[in-house]
Amino acid sequence: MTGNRRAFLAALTLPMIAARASAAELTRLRVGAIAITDCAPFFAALQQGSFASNGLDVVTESETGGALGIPAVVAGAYDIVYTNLPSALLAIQQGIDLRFIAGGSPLNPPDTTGLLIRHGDAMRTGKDFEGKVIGINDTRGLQWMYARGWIKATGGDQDKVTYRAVSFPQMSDAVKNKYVDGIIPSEPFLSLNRSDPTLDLIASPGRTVFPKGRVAAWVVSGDFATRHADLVRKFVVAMDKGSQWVNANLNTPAFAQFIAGYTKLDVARVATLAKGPTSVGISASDVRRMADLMRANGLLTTAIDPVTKIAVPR
Amino acid sequence: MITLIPGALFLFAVLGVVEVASRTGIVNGAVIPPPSMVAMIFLQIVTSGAFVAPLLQTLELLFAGYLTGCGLALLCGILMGSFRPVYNLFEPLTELLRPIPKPALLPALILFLGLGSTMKVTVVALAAFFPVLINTIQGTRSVDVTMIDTARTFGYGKAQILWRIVLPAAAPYYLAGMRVSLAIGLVVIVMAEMLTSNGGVGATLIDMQHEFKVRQTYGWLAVLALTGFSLNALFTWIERRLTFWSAS
Amino acid sequence: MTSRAAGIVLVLALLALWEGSVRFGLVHSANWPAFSTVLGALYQNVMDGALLTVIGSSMWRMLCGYALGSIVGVSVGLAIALYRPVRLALEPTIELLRPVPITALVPALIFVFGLDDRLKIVCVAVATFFPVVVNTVSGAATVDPIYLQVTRTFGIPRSMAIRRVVLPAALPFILAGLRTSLAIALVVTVIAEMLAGQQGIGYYLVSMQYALRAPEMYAAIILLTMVAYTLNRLFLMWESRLIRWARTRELEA
Repeated sequence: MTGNRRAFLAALTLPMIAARASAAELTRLRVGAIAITDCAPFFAALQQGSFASNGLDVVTESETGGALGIPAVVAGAYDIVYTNLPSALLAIQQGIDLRFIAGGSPLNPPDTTGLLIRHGDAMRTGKDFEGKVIGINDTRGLQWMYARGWIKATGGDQDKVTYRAVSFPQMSDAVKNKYVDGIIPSEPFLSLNRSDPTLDLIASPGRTVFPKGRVAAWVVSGDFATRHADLVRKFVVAMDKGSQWVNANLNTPAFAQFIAGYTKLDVARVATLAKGPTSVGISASDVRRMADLMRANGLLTTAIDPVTKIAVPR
Repeated sequence: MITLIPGALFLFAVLGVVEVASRTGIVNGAVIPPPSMVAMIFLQIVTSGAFVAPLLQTLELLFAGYLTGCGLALLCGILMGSFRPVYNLFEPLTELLRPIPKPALLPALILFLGLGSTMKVTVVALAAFFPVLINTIQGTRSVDVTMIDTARTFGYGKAQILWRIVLPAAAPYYLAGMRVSLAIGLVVIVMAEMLTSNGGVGATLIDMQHEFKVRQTYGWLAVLALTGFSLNALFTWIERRLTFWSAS
Repeated sequence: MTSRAAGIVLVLALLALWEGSVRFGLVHSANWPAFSTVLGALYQNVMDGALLTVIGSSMWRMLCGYALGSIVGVSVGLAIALYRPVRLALEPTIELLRPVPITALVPALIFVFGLDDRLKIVCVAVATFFPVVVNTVSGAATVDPIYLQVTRTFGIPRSMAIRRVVLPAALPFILAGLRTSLAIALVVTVIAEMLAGQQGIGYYLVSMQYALRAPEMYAAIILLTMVAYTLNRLFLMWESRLIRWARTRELEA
């Protein structure tokens, strides 16, 4: 664990030192990311020096929550931030000017979330969950929409189920101690709980409700997108390189070390995470799909034209 | 009433500056909304009765935890303040537990107590316990020994001494502690609600924030401020009733 | 066994209970590691410097905010106590703002201050300000107005009157306020870091949880507790020294 961190820091700083040596033409870019597998292309680009070779001096901070980036961008603390798509759309709905410049990439196949119950319980469909409690990370967030969608798709009345907020690390405790009857964790908690013999995985609500959908994005303020389109372009080009590195190295041991390095997860645990190829594009239809899902769940009430919100450099 | 005028003027002056800055764009209006809009939303929250259910839940849990914590602290405090051996027995434990920031205990609490009322009441009780404990110990110790001796010579039993001498004499101390605990209790219950999102004012605040409804957030913060203010005023009123006999 | 020793035995017994609950399978959870595991993590993380850097950065933020809030608190408090117009103007606003839990404000403040040190220092400063200002006003109020009138009659400048008469009298109260604020400052720092991330012990606690490293999280809590305990003790020592100094000054005056 210590070794991982040291190696990772060394790997990070070497290209940065080299870049600094070559110089003053680097433009500083403040980026907010989250230390999760979804941000792998970003951290890969950082590690490989792709930002530096594109003339960017990326200064990054990791946040604890998916939606903290947006207030920070508004406050001018960050230039670019990684956030989940529903939060971004909710912010846009409230008049905050944001643009999408790249897609958050699911490192794993769409099964990054799953519905688990106590071993031995009989629930299998949405109908079975009526009158019961499901623990989700964010009431009125992505997993909430997944839960509701899955309940409805499997024959249940989504309003007859109670949804309770449980943070990911507490989910297994919550379901085992009967505070909730089902949980929808995300990686790495999904694979952690899957391997627990006292819990059963009964469904993949994400796959049922929003197959192959983009759920996160890198955003900037509208102002920034207009005034610094060149920086945005360089950022996305570097990210793309990072994503290519990830795809090329997916099954190598160096990859597990890399992920363990920035997430601080144990290397052994990283090996159990499901992996898949990634990409960092985002399109208007990605945004439209999410907007429709949110509208169906009553989260979005105003019309948002996705095309105007995409600022992906050509 | 007239003395309130300078205060009101000051407040309105500050709000006026914010209003102008927000509307003219000197500050980002989406982030620092004009106070007039916040006031409208606040009125809407109040007149529509939307504040009732969350506020009642918050207050319910707050009082349950607060009274439990204070009651236990009073009991332990008097025992620890009166009997050296009891103090020595529990002092290391309380000194160890006191500095732990209660939010850090939430994962353990959630594990053992779940996500509902029990957990929230417990965390409030834990937070309210220590200020009252410390103050009660101090207050008990400060009771004039001659008073107790005099009472004993008059044949007062232990219980009577406690009820008629110690409790009233230590009152300024533990009441001060209870006032601090009330403020801390409110902070902790709101925080617990923010982290568990299961009803209450804290959960409403978090919901508003998740949806970036900045004006509503400030409206609800105003509800919270008013609540804290009223609780404090209520406490002062009760305190005055209880200690009318002591010359200040 | 003396009762003092019994106190320590009590703590050890509870720790043994913690260890036993895990070793004997009474409690089974990723969020409840054995005490010995936690100690191991504590030792390792302190040795490789990780935890100390984290706590250090939190302490830095806390002390900055604490200093800021205290200085402003004492100044405003003295102004309120000594000048009636100031009191009339400021008191209602302070009383209205005081009950707002700073933790509820953190998410709203992120929009204004971002997520970095600025935000946390501001939150700590605001949280520190209120107990300090309230206590300063109470303390200054204990000065018999006669003393102040006497100083005025003798033409002694206000600033000297404040230093020689008001401050020493108010000192015990101010110090009590500063001590309360210290505890609050620590809690607010942790909460602000938990909510607004990036660095520091609060962020560390949350990120260790998400990294499935509960032993590290508890190790950090233990270290935090020790730091808080030490800070409190240091403050008490400094406080008694200061009071002794103030008493001698008062006698001189």
